[in-house]
Amino acid sequence: MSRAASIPLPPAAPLSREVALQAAEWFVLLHSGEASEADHRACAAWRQQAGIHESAWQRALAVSQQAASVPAALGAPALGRARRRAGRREAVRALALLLAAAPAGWLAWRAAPQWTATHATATGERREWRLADGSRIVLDTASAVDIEFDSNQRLLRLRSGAIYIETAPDPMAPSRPLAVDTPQGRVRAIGTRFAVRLEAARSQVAVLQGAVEVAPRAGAATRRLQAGQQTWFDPWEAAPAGPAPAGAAQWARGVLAVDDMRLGDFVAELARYRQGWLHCDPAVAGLRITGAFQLGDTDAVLGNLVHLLPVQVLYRTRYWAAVAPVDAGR
Amino acid sequence: MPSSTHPLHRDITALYTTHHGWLQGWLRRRLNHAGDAADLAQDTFVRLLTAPAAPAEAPLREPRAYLATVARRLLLNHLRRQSLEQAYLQALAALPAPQAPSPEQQLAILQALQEIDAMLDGLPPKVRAVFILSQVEGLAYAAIAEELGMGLRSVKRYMAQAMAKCILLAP
Repeated sequence: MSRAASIPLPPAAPLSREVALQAAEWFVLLHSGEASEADHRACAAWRQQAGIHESAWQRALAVSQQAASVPAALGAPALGRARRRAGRREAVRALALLLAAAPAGWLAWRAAPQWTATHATATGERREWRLADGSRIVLDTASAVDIEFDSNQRLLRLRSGAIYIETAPDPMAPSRPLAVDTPQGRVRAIGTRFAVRLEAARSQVAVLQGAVEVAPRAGAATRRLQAGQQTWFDPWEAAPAGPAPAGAAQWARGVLAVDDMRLGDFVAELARYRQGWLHCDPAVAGLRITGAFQLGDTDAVLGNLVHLLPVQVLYRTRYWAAVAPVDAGR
Repeated sequence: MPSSTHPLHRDITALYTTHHGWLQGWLRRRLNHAGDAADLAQDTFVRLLTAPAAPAEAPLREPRAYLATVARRLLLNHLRRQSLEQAYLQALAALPAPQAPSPEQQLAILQALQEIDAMLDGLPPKVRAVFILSQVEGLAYAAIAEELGMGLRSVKRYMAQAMAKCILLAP
């Protein structure tokens, strides 16, 4: 590597290869567990001999500290060249596999059900299917559903993410009921368009047309929702129905429609559609935002934010972005 | 040397006007990502402006070959960082959830890794492995010798070699 391509050194203190190697050798000796009292004294004397010696020594310590700050479980595989009991060749092959598999592995981590569900989407993806009975479903980002139709029922098991459903009259007679199951309970459709979204410990339903009946898994009572209503439910009960926001299922058309939403919530929502990490600085999380945003291009949405609010978007890499106040330093 | 009096400034401005679009296309074909290509094209010209000893003749005689040479170096650097980042995300994904660092820590670790990776770039694999086993995994030299099937003296020599390079390149 040429000097021009490396990190420039302070011009006042040109550090020669020779001095760097001497400092490195002292470092190795003192960390070998074999250094004597005399070795320590000799090293101290060498450091005092010249300012440049001391600064080379300090650099060695800084490098060592930096390397030690990295957890071994992350550092070793990422730096990728030193696996236990693996020959060089195996290590290289492992690394190649690692690199090839990285995006898939990341995805699997974010949404494991993706791999086994009958219908699934990746992060940032939105997809539509026409089912055997003529019903139309749309899966939101990072979502997975199992379609289980038999002679008695039309069952959709939502395993992650969100689903939008437009039911069709069942072509079979007698007609089979259509329901969406989540870990928290069952949503029965009554000739309808509706959306179900699964979160960590609860599910949300919003009805656009017709009606649904919500039956929490372990609850005694069911709750009926009409068009324009939404509710949350956990395994024990469904909250009283409230008005569904106008944009409730707009995601099914690739639009995130929000009205006076907290920026923190908005960013969290947007993050569902992006790979990697998207963070909102608490200093701006309370700002309010209104508008309709295209989910197909979250980079563009982030780019627009700076025109709508006094914020800036800091990109460290493509996978790491943060929404911060305008005056935040780097 | 104050950069505003750099004799090459005029030439670089001319280079930029004539070849910026071409360079961005050249990079895009190798990257499949328009944003990164635009960034790297920009970086290439910035590198020309800040390079202390740019050959005065070369840019004018073979402008595109010259730009491509500079851009290729930045591109390799970029790809190395990208592959490191992917390997890092993979390693993160493999961690049991309770061990996962906070997002802020994750970012700090990635930045440290990128600096270490850059400093170790170009070292022979054995030398690199010794450094990682010693400084990241925290193994004693004797354990590394056994691990890698080499003598203790080689371990120490490689370690000093790696550390010397880091000392030279440390920010």
